[in-house]
Amino acid sequence: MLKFIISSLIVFTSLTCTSQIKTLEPKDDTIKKDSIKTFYNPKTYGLRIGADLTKPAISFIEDDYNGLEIVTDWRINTRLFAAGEIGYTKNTNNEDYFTHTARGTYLKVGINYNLYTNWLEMDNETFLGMRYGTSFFNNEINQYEIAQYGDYFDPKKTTGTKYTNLNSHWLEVVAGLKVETFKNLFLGFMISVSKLITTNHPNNFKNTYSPGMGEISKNGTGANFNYTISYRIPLYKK
Amino acid sequence: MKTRKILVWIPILFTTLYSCQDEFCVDATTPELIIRFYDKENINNPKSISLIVWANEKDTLYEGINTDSLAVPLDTKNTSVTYHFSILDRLNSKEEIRIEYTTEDIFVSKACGFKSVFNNLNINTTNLNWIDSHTKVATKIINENEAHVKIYH
Repeated sequence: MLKFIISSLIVFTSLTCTSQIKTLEPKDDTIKKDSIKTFYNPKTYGLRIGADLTKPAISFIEDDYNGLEIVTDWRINTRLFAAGEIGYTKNTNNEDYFTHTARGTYLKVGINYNLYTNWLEMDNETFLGMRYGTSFFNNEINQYEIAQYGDYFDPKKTTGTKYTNLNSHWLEVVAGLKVETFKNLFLGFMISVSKLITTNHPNNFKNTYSPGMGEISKNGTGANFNYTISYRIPLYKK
Repeated sequence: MKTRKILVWIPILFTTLYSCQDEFCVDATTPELIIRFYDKENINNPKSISLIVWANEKDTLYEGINTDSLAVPLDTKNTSVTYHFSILDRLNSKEEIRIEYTTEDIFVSKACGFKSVFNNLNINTTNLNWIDSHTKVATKIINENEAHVKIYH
């Protein structure tokens, strides 16, 4: 629930930003009419490909985590983009009573819809979008401690099992920004809230973490973010 | 320029708040052995007793609790526990209850991890002193809803 509130807050923040920028548009109708096509008409089409900067940075800082993510999108028209992410995660989670390591790859595909009105040569985005995500992973329980009331007897501590051939499928709502900082070079930020559709829980364990979705909460939700640098390979102009 | 400022602020806000999420263990975990005390003359009547309870080579678990129902933990690292039951303020009233079992670990949830349940339950009482007899009600300890053993005295 908290995650949902935070995410909607952030979505609203980005929406406020668009509306503020819209008020900067000339109020005079005649000017607007004359120039509406030149005002909002990013012309460059091409394949944009980039990488998430946070995941390698966290991998470097934390021993428990290894991850990378490649992001890509393709302009369909001035507003609409086909977008996707592919990545790898190895993450050791320390829960209260057990630790486990999930390793695997994930793929997300979907669309972004740009809400930002560009001026002149600008080509920025404030977008909302949807993704379908899937991951293939294995999960190893490194150690667990029996949960019990009190400590009259010390609880048993033991090593666990490795579960392979796990997968999960989910849907995501995403919101983010992309800013063209140099010609064809973009910095971007995106947050996503995901909802699990299905996952194959192993016998006597549950998939509480999935690469691409992260920690799966009790009600099957997850949240993620990335901070990307990407380059657009300009292919043609329209 | 405004967009660039937001580009810096949103990640900071998000990572700060994201680290607040947590879940606590509220589910039932490893069950304890439930013992109920009954009157040996009238076996359907619960009968309270004041007991001092401790396990082999351990500290006192209950010191003079007056009840007709006791919950005692079992050792998940071993396959047996011997409890000593002694009536409060009565000398040489020690009785032993030996509980044998096998453990099975069952996943509960992310917050609680695994619990142990106890199978192949086997109970022996010394019956030297105040214990008249006992009846094993359950062969497994999987929850604490009902008594697992009845002791008549």
